[in-house]
Amino acid sequence: VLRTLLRVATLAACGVALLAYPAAFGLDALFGKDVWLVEEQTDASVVAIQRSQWKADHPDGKPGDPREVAEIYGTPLSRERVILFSDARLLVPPEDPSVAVLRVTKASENPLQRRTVRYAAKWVAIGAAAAALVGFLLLRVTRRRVAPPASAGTPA
Amino acid sequence: MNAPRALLLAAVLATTAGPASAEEAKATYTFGTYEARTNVTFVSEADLETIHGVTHKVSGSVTYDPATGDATGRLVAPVKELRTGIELRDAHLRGEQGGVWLEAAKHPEIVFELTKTTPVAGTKDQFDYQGRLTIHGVTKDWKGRATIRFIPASVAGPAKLGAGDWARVKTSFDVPIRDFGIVIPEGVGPKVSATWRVSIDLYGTTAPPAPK
Repeated sequence: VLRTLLRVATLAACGVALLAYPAAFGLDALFGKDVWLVEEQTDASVVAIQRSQWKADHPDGKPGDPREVAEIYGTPLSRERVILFSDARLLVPPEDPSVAVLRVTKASENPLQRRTVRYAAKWVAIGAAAAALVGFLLLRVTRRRVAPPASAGTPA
Repeated sequence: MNAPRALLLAAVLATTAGPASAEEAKATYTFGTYEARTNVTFVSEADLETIHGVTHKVSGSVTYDPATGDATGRLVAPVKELRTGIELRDAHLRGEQGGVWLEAAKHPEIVFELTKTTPVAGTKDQFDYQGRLTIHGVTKDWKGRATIRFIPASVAGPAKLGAGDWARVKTSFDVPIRDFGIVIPEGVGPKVSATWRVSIDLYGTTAPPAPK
């Protein structure tokens, strides 16, 4: 029974080691978004002022630096690739529809980043591969121990 | 805001973005009176993740002389008010629960003493500034460039910003944290960068609300 459990665990570890990276890439492909993370400006009058300032700086309406567009809606933190399961808080500014702004409240929010998923995938893959290796070694060692002696079946 | 009002506001802002005229008197702008208009962020980019932090608690004032473009003042941010979105990490940042970072109990405040500003020639709203930055009890001379937009009361009032003249100050700079005696503990190397990008976006007013 223990050998069966060990075999299952070893195969599972192999599977995790092999699938960790594809899973991380799949997650990114399905839910990854390039966004400007912005500490949300909750004061509407400030947003109006900042929009006016942006318009004053861009009288021709050409968007220019996407960070400046993001600044209308809050304080830009950085441009990140995040794993976003819902687009509800994603904002596409009319000033530049090519920009995606994710408004967050950093006091309580920490959106999942692609780099975190990949970092985790790397260590999950390494850990699982190590566990699988140990499992294979244990299976090999225990198989030798339970094997009958070569002379046991020899006729007298 | 409706379109004509927004256009009017934009037009007024376009003409009032630079320093005020020379005949105007010195004015003292108080910062931190509204949390939503007080944004200091810091970003630490590392292998594991980009840590984003923020505080909306900054207090202090800056006195500006429109005749010379010079300004002096002091701004203070309490370390215990820094937030990164994860409670345990915030505690570590404060130096609690096994963390060592900013040691808020020993060094409770981050302070910037502004000693001088100089308008940048050829720009309408850029200022070079000098001062002293104190983090983790270590004080260093500091200089950089800021964007300062002045919003006169005649615009701020209709825009519902509040009473008084306003100034919006934006700047960003890199802080090499080891220079301020901040130790990156063993084992957290991939989680934290040795240089943190700090961005400041503050609104100050000459007519701060009365304390409650």
